[in-house]
Amino acid sequence: MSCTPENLDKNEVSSLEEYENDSTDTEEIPIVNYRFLTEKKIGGEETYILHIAATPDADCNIVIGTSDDVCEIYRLGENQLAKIETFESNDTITGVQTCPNNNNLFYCGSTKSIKLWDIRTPQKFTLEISEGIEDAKPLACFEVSPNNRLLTAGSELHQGEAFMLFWDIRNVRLMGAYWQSHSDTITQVKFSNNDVNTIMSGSVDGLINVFDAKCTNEDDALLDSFNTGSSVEQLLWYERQGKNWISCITHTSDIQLWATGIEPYVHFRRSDITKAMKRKSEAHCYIVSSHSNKLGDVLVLTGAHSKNKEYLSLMNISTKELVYLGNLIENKQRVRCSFYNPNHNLLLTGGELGLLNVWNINPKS
Amino acid sequence: MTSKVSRDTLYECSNAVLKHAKIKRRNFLETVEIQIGLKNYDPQKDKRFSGTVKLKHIPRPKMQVCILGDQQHCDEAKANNVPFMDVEALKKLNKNKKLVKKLAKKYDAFLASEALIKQIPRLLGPGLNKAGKFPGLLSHQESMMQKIDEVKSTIKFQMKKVLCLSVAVGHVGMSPDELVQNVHLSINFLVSLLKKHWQNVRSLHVKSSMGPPQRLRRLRVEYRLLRDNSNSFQMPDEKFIKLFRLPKILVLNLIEEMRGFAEAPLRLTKIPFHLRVLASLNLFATGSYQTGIGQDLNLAMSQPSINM
Repeated sequence: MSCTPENLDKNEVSSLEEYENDSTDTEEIPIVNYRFLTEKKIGGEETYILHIAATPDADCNIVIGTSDDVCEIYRLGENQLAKIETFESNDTITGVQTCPNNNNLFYCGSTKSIKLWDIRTPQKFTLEISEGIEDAKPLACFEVSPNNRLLTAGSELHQGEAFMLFWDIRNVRLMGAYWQSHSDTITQVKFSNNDVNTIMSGSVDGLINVFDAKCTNEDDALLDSFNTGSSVEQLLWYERQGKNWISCITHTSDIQLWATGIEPYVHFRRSDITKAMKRKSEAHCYIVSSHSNKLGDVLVLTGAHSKNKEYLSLMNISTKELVYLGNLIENKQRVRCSFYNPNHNLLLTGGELGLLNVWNINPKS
Repeated sequence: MTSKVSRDTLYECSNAVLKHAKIKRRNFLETVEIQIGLKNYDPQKDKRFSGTVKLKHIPRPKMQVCILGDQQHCDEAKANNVPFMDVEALKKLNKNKKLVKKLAKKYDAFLASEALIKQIPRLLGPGLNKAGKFPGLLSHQESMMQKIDEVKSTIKFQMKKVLCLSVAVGHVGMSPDELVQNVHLSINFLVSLLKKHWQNVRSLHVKSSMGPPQRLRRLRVEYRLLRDNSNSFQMPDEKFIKLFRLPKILVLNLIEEMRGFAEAPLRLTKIPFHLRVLASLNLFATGSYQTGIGQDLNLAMSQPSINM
């Protein structure tokens, strides 16, 4: 692929890329093939699984959000998946989350509101959190704080402004908002695991902002801003050597790691990912998500597709190097979301064929 | 394959855009943008289509970059005649919203030294963030002028709710080669980000601010529309015989008899069977070259389609 200017000779411009016969199927380096546990088809032919989360126990409850605006709960037991409940959302789902201190409660966020569901009383949602006004801002993401007190949501660009809204979960009261630190849709809001008051947000404008939520005045609340120079798709806090770090995936399939400093101390571009996956075509590789493991390393789930096969691999970034760990060869789909449980080495993936997969990524198994 | 945009088409379109701008000169430097229409793309399900791409040639030469620098960077900026501000100057703004807004309006982009960038939220508040102009980092390892050029040549793209995207990739003061390289680079980058690549592209145009759009792709669709609206059987008997050497009724019979032997169409947009028969008859009747038939507006097929 000739995406870089170096490949373009001044007088010779090749015709535009075809992207058809690429990503050869030949070279296969046998590393680790992670253990495939189970698979479940969800929804109809066109259903994508776009959001996934699970409770921290080994026999976990899994919550997924699909492109059909349905939120479903599955139970994993003895490597089998059993459907427990279905919750309909009438609007596009923006995210799902488990309740930090109760394995029976699930949050499901849509563009209009965030609902709390209890699987013991599935007839009706337990709580609904929304602005409750006619011209409400369309929401793009949400997260509940680790102590289950505070909920924050990021909005789409609405009448020229992008908002970060805060609710107190106990009395479902809108506490306040920040709207001066982003100039475009807020795609991610993430609470720090260590400090309840530290929140970061990521946006299509390419900025990552870190706030101290104790401050009601946005001018004082804004602690740090990082310019990724792209558009932020996913953010992750992770802890390494007692410090908080940020992993950021962009919409152009780059991954950047920030150590609350001034520049990303690691920046892997799509071409680096392609190289690490030992594939040839950059246009066929993508990043699914990143997770942190117990050692403080970042695990990166990457995918590639060729004419007749979908690949899924796991990489590791411990220092400044991207290391190929192994493959998930039973994967059949373009993966869109994943969840990792570091205590039980469980990896859940969902994607565009509507397949929910469970993997054990313990290297010893 | 029709999905490819050839080098010739790229040059043809870029030249047409530049030529039009020369004939009708405006009193400002027109920008050149590419417009991409998408298909088979669902904004509800598919990944957001946004980001940045660095081009080879600067698309907006008039862009003003201001350096928020430490002593060394300020000196360098001064020597190179680049606008700059130091910590003291920033402190004077005193988080005053109006002043920060004014500063953000004055320049198109900012670059800041390592020592300063960390302090910007403290010194200026969220003003630059809000304006979408939070500075990029300028380290002492890289050349200032090179970094400024990098900022100037990086463009942002984003698809809104409608399945259409337009990005400024150049200006009419560029040479055809420069423009073609920028168009080429940006299209390739954008298409590589689409899940199904070229299969997600419905249309592709190059256009200057005031000029008409030049089509890079979609010729196939044009043919199809023309084809669907044309009916050879409506032409006078005399002309029909001249073209196909057979009367209409006989041709109709022939089509019906041959239909049983034809393979079932795989695509919805497949060229209808009767048109394929007519095209062959035309070839046998006139014995002319395929291109001649392909350009016949009554049949509206391209040369590769005739060559089946």
